[in-house]
Amino acid sequence: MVFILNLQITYGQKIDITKRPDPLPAKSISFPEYKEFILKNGLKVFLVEDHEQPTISLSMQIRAGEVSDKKAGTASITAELLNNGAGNRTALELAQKLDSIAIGVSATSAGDATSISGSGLKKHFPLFLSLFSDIVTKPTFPQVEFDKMIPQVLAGIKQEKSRPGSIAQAMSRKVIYGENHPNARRRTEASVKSITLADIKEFHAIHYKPNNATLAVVGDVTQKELVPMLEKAFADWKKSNVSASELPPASPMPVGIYFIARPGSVQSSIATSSLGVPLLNPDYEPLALCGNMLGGSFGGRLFKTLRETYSYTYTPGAFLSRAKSMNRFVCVADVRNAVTDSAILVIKHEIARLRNEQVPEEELTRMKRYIVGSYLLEFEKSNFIANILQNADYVGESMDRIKSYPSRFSALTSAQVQTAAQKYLKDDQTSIIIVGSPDILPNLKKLGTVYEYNLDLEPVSSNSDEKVDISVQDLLQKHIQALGGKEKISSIKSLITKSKASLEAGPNLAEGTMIKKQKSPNFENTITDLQVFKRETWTNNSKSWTSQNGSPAQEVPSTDIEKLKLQATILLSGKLLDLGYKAEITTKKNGQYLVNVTSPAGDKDVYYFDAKTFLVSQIDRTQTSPAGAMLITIKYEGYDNISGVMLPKKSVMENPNFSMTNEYSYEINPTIEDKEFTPTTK
Amino acid sequence: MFRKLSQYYFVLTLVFVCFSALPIFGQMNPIKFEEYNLPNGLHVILHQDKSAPVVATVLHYRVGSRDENPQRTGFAHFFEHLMFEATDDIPRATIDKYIEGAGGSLNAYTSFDETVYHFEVPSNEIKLALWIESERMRKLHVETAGVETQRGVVKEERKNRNDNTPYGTWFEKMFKNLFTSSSYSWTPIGSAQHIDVATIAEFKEFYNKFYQPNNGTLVIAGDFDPKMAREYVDAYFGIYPKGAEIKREEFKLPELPAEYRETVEDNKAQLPAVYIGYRGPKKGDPDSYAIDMLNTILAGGQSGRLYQRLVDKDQIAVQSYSFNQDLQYSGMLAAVGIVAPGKSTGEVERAIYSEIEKIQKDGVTDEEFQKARNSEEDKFIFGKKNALEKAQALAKYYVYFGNTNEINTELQRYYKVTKADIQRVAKQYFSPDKRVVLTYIPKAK
Repeated sequence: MVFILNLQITYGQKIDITKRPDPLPAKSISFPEYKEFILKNGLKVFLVEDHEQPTISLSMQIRAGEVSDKKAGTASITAELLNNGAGNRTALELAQKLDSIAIGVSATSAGDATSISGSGLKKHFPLFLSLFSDIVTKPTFPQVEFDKMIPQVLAGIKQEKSRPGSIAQAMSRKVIYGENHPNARRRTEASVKSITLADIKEFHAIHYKPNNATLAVVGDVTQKELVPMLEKAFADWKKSNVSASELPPASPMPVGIYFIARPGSVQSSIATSSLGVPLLNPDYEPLALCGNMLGGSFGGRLFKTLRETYSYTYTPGAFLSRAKSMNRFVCVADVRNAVTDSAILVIKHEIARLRNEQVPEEELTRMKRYIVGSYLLEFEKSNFIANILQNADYVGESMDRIKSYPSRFSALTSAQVQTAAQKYLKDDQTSIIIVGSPDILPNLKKLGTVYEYNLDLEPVSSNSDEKVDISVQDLLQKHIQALGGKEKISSIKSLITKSKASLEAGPNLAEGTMIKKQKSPNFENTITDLQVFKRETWTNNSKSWTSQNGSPAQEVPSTDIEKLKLQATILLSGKLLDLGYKAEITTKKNGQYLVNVTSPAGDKDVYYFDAKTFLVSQIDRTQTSPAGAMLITIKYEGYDNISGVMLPKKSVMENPNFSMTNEYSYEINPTIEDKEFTPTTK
Repeated sequence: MFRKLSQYYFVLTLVFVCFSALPIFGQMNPIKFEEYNLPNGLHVILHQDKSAPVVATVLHYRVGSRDENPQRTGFAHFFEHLMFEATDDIPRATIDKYIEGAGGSLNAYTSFDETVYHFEVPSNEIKLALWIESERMRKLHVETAGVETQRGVVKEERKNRNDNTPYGTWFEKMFKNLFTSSSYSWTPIGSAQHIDVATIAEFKEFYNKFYQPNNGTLVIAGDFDPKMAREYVDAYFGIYPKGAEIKREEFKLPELPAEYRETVEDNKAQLPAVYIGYRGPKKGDPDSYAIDMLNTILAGGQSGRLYQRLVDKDQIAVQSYSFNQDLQYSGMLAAVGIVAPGKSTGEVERAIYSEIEKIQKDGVTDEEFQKARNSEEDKFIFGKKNALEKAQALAKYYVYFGNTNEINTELQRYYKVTKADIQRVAKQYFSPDKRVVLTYIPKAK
């Protein structure tokens, strides 16, 4: 790497140790040297020589990512499967070879590109290169590895739903680029389940082509050494016709407030979003600087207001995305529920200030120096340079433009920042995405039109709620009739429910049994046995215990007893009002009445009553834990008439971490001794 | 070991300059440096690297959690925060503005034996980094405003790291039980309660005892003129007198009486987990190199023995690994298994032992031995590619090895390890009656 030095060296100057020292004359830094050449098969290669240590790294960028997916998730699963079998090696053999020379190869796919990279010592380079070439060009995609991967991906999707920030960003892409735009594509359980091994092989065959990729090589190697090795390693990789897929233009959804209910949230994730400009548009950099002024580092304005003045949040930010053809300008913050609307107003106010006032010179200069300085510090890392070269090639940015970035950015003025804000950050062109507790909805409605979406980013039909045509008393009365009538319900004094249980968590499945014994008014004993995990609970009139994996039973704190006693009630849904529960119908949609049910002990559940059968089809329950609130849904499927009462055949309980299915059988009014509701070992 | 060598250095090398000899091992390009002491005892190491217009500075203080009063734990780490507050010539909340305004970055970390502060700045701002470090060395304002702010911040950090993370308490519990009755029995984050009740006078005393030139090592690495750098260092740090000699408690570590077991109910955890800890060799001990290689064989990559057995073959764990944390006077060896849904901690624990026992009985294969060697070479060389990494390594070798040039030669110590050594350390350190076993069970919600 070469830099031009014009450092003036002066010795023996008196240094005032009580003042911030003046900087030495700045070195004019030129873009590091690199080489660019094309292999016979059409693969473009960038070489950044770095002889500091005898190491070499490789990074292949394929011009295809989520944006090219026919079934959302194909690109990323293809990438993740690359090093699970390639050339003539199985997944294990490949891992052993790579580990034997201390090389980790990672492959990731995001947005419009896939990147495969790894690094190692120069002396292992011949083997590294041949393994790397196998991984990129000759993956074998074994069925057994595909079958192991899919459940892992599904578990990942489930966990994504528990991360409000990433839901807000996915929604922001939909709102800004359009509901069905390729840039807004996101893998779902359904899309991943529809992917076959043939889809993966096809994706690889179409997109992983030398003329649809660039390779960056960084490290202790010269072009003369490198070219013959690369020609040999990639000799079998042939170019073919690759049709460049042009993205359709953005078609933003109506400007407004997009709300995604996440019951139990204690914080709201806010993402204000507007459509930005393409990367090479002359307005791109002034607009990017608007993002820095608001959310870049500790000096950004949202840090000063949202965080330091109001303490609404620890994590404000703002950015302009960096894609070739279209971009989003986004301000983000995770704030306490109660201040959601106030925080939105603060963000809007800060954006308005950018439009209405010029940024003071000193503040602007400090921010520009920080942004440009951080960029230049990265020049020390040769991989950073390689990354810039590959991205510039992808988006068609000229090297002259790349090289003049620091001086061009440093010359941006307050007037340019203000003009960009006035042009692109208009109030009536900014949508607001919020993922948070349903409780905050009434306050949001005061701010403007609210469009409601669910965690799968589908519109909620509550936009067309059906009319509620029944009182809650009548509804619960009909439910009692549907169950078998009040008399029949109260005739059941004891009940044994047995089930075949299966627990699914990520790729793992555990099967076992559950036996629940109940006796009125509120005795209960449940044994859940999933082979190695065993849990037993007891509740009698005054006390309650739990035991795990055969440990001595522990008494539950008396504060929880009322709650557990109520839960021990036989056919609880038929006795809600009698037991002092409060119930309120909130809406009717999709043929279901949604009823908020609050127990005398304070628990809040949402019951779904089917409008035709008047039986319970689902219960939503929010559990709080120190890690945050978690929504549990229990769905009931298929009811049978068992000696005159309707009881569910099956239930599926789901939370972000696992799902549990129970298939039930029942014994009505068996004889159960009271002592069975008290543990024998305490 | 450190004690003896450091005395030797301070006595014999008041102004000591060394242009390092250049042995070449493992094909690494040698790192050249010069080093000397200021009359006040500050040790200075300069490494010029003109490959990029960047300067990294490291100020390594020999003060860690083990230097704390057991009734006032968390002090060393607390200072890591306090050092971003005001000094005589720098107002509060200004240090990060200075550095970010210059296009640089800053950070710090605290361990059992050390606290390390570092900057990365464009090379023309070298003076700014040195000036801030010199202000913090002796002109820090240890006063109510800053102390109160940082008490709150440190408590949030503790919540984040220990209290709100699955298995977040394992590190504290492991050190508490593995190093009982020694100064490693508490961890750098310390006790929130101790920080709450500490007085300003106590903080001042700690500052004056440890933040002295003769307790520090300053490294400057990057694109600068060494002659000029010496002038700056003289001007900024030469003004301070030498601090009083620090009397440190001798490190005493009683034998572990027996295996210690504890079951922890954790309401943040989704899956059970097992953490198994043993005492390991101290930093620089020849055995610690054999232990590192053993760890690579057990846990390196997807072909590691633990991954292959527990995750891939038996599918009883979703994750399993082992690692070595070497300290100045001892070390911790840990093996970890995160239990797969529906499997038991007992199965996972037994499988980990059985993999260790296989090595104790049969040793390791030639392929594994070669893999471990290659892995050490790779880590050693890759860890010395940018200015900040090199600066941190130079400080470490000077302080703990008494020989800065180990930055070029330490790899040789791995080459001395034999297959038999790996089998021997597996037997010697992984002893069933000398371990701490922590079992985490998700708490029913």
